[in-house]
Parts: sequence; structure tokens; C-alpha cells
Amino acid sequence: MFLFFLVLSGVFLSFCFFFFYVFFEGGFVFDLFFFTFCGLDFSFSFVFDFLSLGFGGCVSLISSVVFFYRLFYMEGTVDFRRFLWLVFLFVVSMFFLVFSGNFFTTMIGWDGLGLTSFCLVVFYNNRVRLDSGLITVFSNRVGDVFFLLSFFLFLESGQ
Amino acid sequence: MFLVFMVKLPVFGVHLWLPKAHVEAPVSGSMVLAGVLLKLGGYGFFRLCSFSVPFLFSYSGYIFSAGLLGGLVRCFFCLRQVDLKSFVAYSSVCHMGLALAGIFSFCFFGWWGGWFMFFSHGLCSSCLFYMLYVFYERFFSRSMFVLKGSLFYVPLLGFWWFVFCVLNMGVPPSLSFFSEVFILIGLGRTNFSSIWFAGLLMFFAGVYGIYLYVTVIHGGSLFSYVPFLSLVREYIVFFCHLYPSLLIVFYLGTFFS
Repeated sequence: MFLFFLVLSGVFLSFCFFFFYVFFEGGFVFDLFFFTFCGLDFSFSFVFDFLSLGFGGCVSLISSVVFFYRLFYMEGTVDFRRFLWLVFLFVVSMFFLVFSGNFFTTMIGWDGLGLTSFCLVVFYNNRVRLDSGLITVFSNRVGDVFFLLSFFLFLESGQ
Repeated sequence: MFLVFMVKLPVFGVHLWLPKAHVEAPVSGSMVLAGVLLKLGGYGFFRLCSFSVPFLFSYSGYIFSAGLLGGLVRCFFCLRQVDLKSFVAYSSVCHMGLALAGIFSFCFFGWWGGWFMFFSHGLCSSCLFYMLYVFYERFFSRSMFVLKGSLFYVPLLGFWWFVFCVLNMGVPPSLSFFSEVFILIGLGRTNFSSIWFAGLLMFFAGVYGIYLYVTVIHGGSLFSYVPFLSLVREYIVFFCHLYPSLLIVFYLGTFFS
């Protein structure tokens, strides 16, 4: 128990340092290089600045409440573990979307959000849920295609 | 010679042999057919383009639009299929149309996009055929109406089915996403108005990917209890299809250096 509190306080302290660092330095970009093609760089990049950390804090606060609450709310469901993983993936893709620094990371977050929200909506297998889930995922796919088109337009306008 | 490759890589109009061949073929036959044989048509185009560009360039507009519009028409046909094997076969026609349009944009982006589309589609469509075979071994049917609601008795296979349907529609960290991006750039550089059709084709690719997942996995099952024994061999095959299509993205730089 003591060890647990030690680890928890260590994590809390490091988060505090992180927040202070970001607040006073104005943020930083974490960039994991993939490949370059015709002068076009593809990389995983994440932006940690005041805005994205604020949104990330909101997301983590609310999702922690959800993670706690679903233990009681979903109790006795047959596919409890599937629901657990789906909510986890939903939160992860939301983090991807919030901290994304370029087009590629945004697309990962956006597509992951659409697909996992589809799986969450159709979690109970019946017709009504299926209809609304299909509307969700198809409208997300429209957004996906227009993301690609806007990526092309950005590329052509040289930004 | 040109027409030969167009039949082999089924372009709209000369594709009708493909669903019939898939329906009748055994599983290994249709896996090889989807994974390798269709791509040989594309390989022929790559070779042909390298020595007869001026000739092909004058006709590229026709081939380009045959690939895009034919793929779009096939998407609508695909959504009307009841037999799942011909569903997957028609979906491969759509993807090959997109890849063909990418090759005949005569742009570096479109060229590599077509190449990647062949590779990623070969992986995920052959695995979709293998999954259909896994269902067929148990139920002796490929009909949507028999297989619906599989989530109740095979949750893990439902997961793998979801993964490959989603890979088929091009989800970001996979190779098919990069191929779609590159093809879209190549098309837009060649002819700007064609990117709307390419966008529509990608949207319908997403629609039938989700539809394929929903019809098989979702809904109420016909059977109340099915003794469904999964074999380790099957999951090894799924994993071996998934692994390269995700991992090759990290080594894409070696192609261009």
C-alpha cells in the first residue's frame, strides 16, 4: 500500500513538473520520424502545449470517471471485457486526436475514434443500435475522405 | 497485350470471370487468386509503362476513368451481393480500379500508391477469403443470411473479422491508408476533378467494409448454440496476414531511399 502511494505520488509530481514546464516554456513537439517521399515527410508527431494539455486533462478526467462508473453500470454484462477494451481504445484514440501534431496522427485519432465509437454504439446487438451506429460511422467516413482531400489541397498550396 | 492485362487485373467490363472463379475455387485457389494473380495484371502494367509511356499516355485518360468509374459502379454492385465470397471478389475489383487509376496518373505518387495498394489489398483480401473458409468449414454456407450474428459464438473471430474489414477500407496506421493517400495525390496532380470520384470511391470502400463486418458479425444468430472450435493454425494465418501490412509501414523509407 505504501509502495502504491509512493508510485502514485511520484507520477503526480512528475505530471506537475510537466505541466509547469509546458506552462512556462510554451510547449514542445515530440516527433517520431517515419519516412520521406518526394519531399513529403511522414512522421508521428505529438504537440504538448497549453491548449492540448488542457484538453487532454479534460479527456483524462472524464474518462477516469467513466472507467470508475462502468464497473457498477455494466456489471453482469456478458461481454464486459469487450466493452472495457472498446472504451480504452476510444480514450486512446481521443488522446491521439488531441495531441496530434500533423496530418497523419490526426487521421489515426479521427479514424480510430470513428471506428471505436461505432463498436460502442452497436455494442448491444439489435436493429436500432445498428442504424444509429451506421449513421455514425458513415458520417465519420465522409469526414475521413474530406481530410484526405484537404491534405491534398494543403500539399498543392505548399503549406 | 494491353487488353490481356486489363482482363487479368479486372477492369470494369472484363471482370465478370472473377466472382465466378472465386465462388467455384477452393480456399487456397481463391486466396492465391486474390493475393497474387490479380496483381500480376498490375505487374504487367508496370512493365508495359516502362517501355511504352508515349503510347499509353495518349490513352491514359480512358483507362483512368475506366478504373475510377468502373470501380464506383462495382461498389454499388458489391453492396447487393448475398454470397460473401463474391462480395469480397467485387470489393477487390473496386480496389484494383483505384490502383489502376493511380498507375495511369503517370505520377510518382500515383505509381507508388498503386504498388502499395496491390500489396496491402493482396494481404487483407486473401485473409478475408481465409476467414470465409473458416466459417464455411463449420456451417457449409457462404450466405449472409446463414452466417449473420456470429459474434455470439465466435467473439475472437469477430475481432479478427473487424480488423481485416477495417484494413480493407484503409485505416491509418496500415499500408492501405498510405496507398490511398498516394493515389489521391497522384490523381489530383493529373486531373483535379477526378479526386471527387476517387473520394466517392474511398467513401464507398468504407461503406462496404463496414457492411461486410455488420452482416456477418452483428445481429441475431440463426443458431442458438454452435460448437465452434477454433484452431491455432487459423489464428496463425490471420496474424501472418496482419503482421506485414502493419509492419511494412515502418520500413517504407527503405523503398524510397
